[in-house]
Amino acid sequence: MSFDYLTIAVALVGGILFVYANMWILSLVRPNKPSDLKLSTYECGEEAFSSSWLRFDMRFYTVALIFVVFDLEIAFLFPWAVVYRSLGILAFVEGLIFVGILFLGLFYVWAKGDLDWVKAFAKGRIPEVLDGPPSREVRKGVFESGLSGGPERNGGGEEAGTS
Amino acid sequence: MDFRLTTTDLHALLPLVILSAGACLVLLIDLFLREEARSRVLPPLTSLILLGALGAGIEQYISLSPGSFRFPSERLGPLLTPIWRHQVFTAVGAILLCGIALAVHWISTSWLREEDRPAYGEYQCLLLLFPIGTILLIGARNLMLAFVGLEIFSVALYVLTAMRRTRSRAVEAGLKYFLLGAFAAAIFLYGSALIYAGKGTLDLPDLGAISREGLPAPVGLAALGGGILFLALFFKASVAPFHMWTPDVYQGAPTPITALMSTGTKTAAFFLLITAARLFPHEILPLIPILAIVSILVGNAGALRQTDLKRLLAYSGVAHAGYLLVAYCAIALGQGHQDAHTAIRAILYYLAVYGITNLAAFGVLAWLERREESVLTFEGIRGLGRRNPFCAAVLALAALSLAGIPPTAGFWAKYQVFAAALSAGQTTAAVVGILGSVVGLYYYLRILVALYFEPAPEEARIPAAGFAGALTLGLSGAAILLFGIFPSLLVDPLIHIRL
Amino acid sequence: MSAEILAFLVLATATVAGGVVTLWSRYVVHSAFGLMLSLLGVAGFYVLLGSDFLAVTQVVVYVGGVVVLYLFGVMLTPPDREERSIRRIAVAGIFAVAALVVLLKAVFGMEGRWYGVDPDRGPASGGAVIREVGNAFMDKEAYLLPFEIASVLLLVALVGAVFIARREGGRGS
Repeated sequence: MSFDYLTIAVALVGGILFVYANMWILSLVRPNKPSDLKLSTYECGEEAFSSSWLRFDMRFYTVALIFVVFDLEIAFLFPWAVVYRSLGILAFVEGLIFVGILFLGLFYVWAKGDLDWVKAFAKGRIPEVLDGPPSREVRKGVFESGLSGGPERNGGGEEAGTS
Repeated sequence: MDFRLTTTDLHALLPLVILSAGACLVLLIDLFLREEARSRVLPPLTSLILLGALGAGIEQYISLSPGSFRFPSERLGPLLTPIWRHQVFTAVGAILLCGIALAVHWISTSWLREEDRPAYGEYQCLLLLFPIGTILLIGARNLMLAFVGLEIFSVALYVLTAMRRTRSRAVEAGLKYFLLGAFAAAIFLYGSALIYAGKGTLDLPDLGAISREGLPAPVGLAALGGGILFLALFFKASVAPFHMWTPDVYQGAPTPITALMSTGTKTAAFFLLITAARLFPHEILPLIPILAIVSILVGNAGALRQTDLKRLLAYSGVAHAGYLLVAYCAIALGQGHQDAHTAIRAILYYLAVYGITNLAAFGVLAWLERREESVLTFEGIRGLGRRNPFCAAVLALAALSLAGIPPTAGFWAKYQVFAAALSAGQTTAAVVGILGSVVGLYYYLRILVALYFEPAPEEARIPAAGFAGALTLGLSGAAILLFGIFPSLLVDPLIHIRL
Repeated sequence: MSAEILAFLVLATATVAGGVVTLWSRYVVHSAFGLMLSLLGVAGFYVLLGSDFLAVTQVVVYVGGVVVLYLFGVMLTPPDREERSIRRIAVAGIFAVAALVVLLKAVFGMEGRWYGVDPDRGPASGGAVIREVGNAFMDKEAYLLPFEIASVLLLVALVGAVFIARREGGRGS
């Protein structure tokens, strides 16, 4: 076993110990007077009215899935990246084909609108909100906000978790 | 180590290259087209790609057969040889699978148009990816490559099965197929890992070595791994008792996809069963005839009770896997080179005929099926002989061929399989197989009776099939008759499969 | 007791404990975290065996990717409040024990055990493994074809999964 991993192990164990040791020490000195109200789940001052376990939106899953696919791509490309310098142009081309095929997948997912958080906006599909067919500028604007605008649009999704 | 690519290598991979590039192209073009344009552009493009791959397969077959003006490329030494089987065997598989995919594509064009939201791009991309996976499985000389192939076509099939998500039956079928298939894939991988642990290599032996006097028998971990590996393959080939998923999934999947599943998957699985024959542990070799017998019994007994035609064909598929295993006994348990050679040719012949026949049968069903699946029962096809003589004739031919009645190709297929088993001394399995086919007559003839001797219901209406669908049915019906009357047309080409 | 054995014992405990939590927890989320612990333990084994590339892959893909995917999958499903059926556990247990016995027998009982394992040879030095893997990926006689075709597999998984998960109304038009 090489010595480098020992450092990692020490850091790992040290980190865990640091947290728990502190909590233990604090528990020795802090007062302990629990009540029902104190033990209830903190929900930004609101009273909790249901379980926090509710169905997530499918889109979380889609994004996680896309992430795993590209995660695997890294696992494949990492060894390639280590050797490709020594193998020259052909290895480069071979890696390019690999990435290219996956890139097509990304392009597909993107163009089909599966990466947009609020998909209907991105596709200009809800003209009833806007009067008349949305102009190019409006669609473009909404498209961009759909890509980047996370939380505030999230609330609009009918299934997204808002508890 | 060599990193150059030669033309021989490209030639060896030509069908795969065409299909992969085609699948990417379809996916890409789909993004740039409007809804109406898709239905006009994508189906012909897919046909073209599949025809190209089919042509490449045929070209490979011709150039690899002895007597061609080119040397078999093996002697030229393509650098892919350690991992890829550039042989007539693979070329035959490529031709079969491209043909199956093409037929399914043609069957499904009119069917796809009926859907609420036809997803041309995805459907056709996945349809092109299916033969890639299966050809990889067939040509692989290495279990890792075979696994990647297995996963590619399995994933494509899971998605195609569950494509119609609004129907609970399709979702159920997709989920069942996915869960069991994922387990089968995991088992396949586990078996490969154990084989590697035992032997230090993932190579699949050469075709010449699959008759028993070749390599030493697998022992220890390798034997265990081989046994586990075969479980996964038996699952894919829906051999009893690993067939539980078959009826539900066949019924729930869209009919063209059922056709693809029943022909393509079985073909690929049996090709790999042949090439992996040496990995089967010798201690449990006597299990193979037993599995064959069980499949024949379970399949036929199950089919007797069905009223739904897709379920009936599913059980009949289990029985046919049993017949194929009868011939497989001759490879696994036969004593020599000759036995194995005969049996391999018998299996390939059977797979080709079964593929054509099943495509014809499911093609008719896909034609009859509109939005209602309930039409695919004995009730639904009553009096079809008068309502639509063409459909009825093709379905009748397919039923006769599945039953193995003489003027059809199915007869010669069964004949060869049982002859191969008998000449290898597998009498019990062959006799059970023959008895099973006699039982099978009952339900296949029931189809004929329903088609021609029962009155048609009043309100029944046959939807119009597209040109491509009709062409496929016509071609496969003609092929069933042609290969039935002149079996040598299909037997002779398989002689070039060298061991 | 050498450090290596100590490390092994710690990792083995973590792996098995993670597995037990995965199986026995009544909350699927806890099961997912148990699985994460188990997978991390396995990554530790890879480190002990000197295959650092595999260890990194294990952490990146399984711990970082697949378990996250599981967690999202868990969140998509309604919580399962049903009691475990003893009979089902018993049946599964019998199968599991039988499989374990067969496997142990294969590993320890039969002749022709692990191929090419030389206990005296130390683990490969770090960095060499990944170079070896990279060369095998680019070598036509080895794994170039599976490497390239793996991208097709990833493509079909991506397209297929997104296609299936796409919401009805949201089909691209």
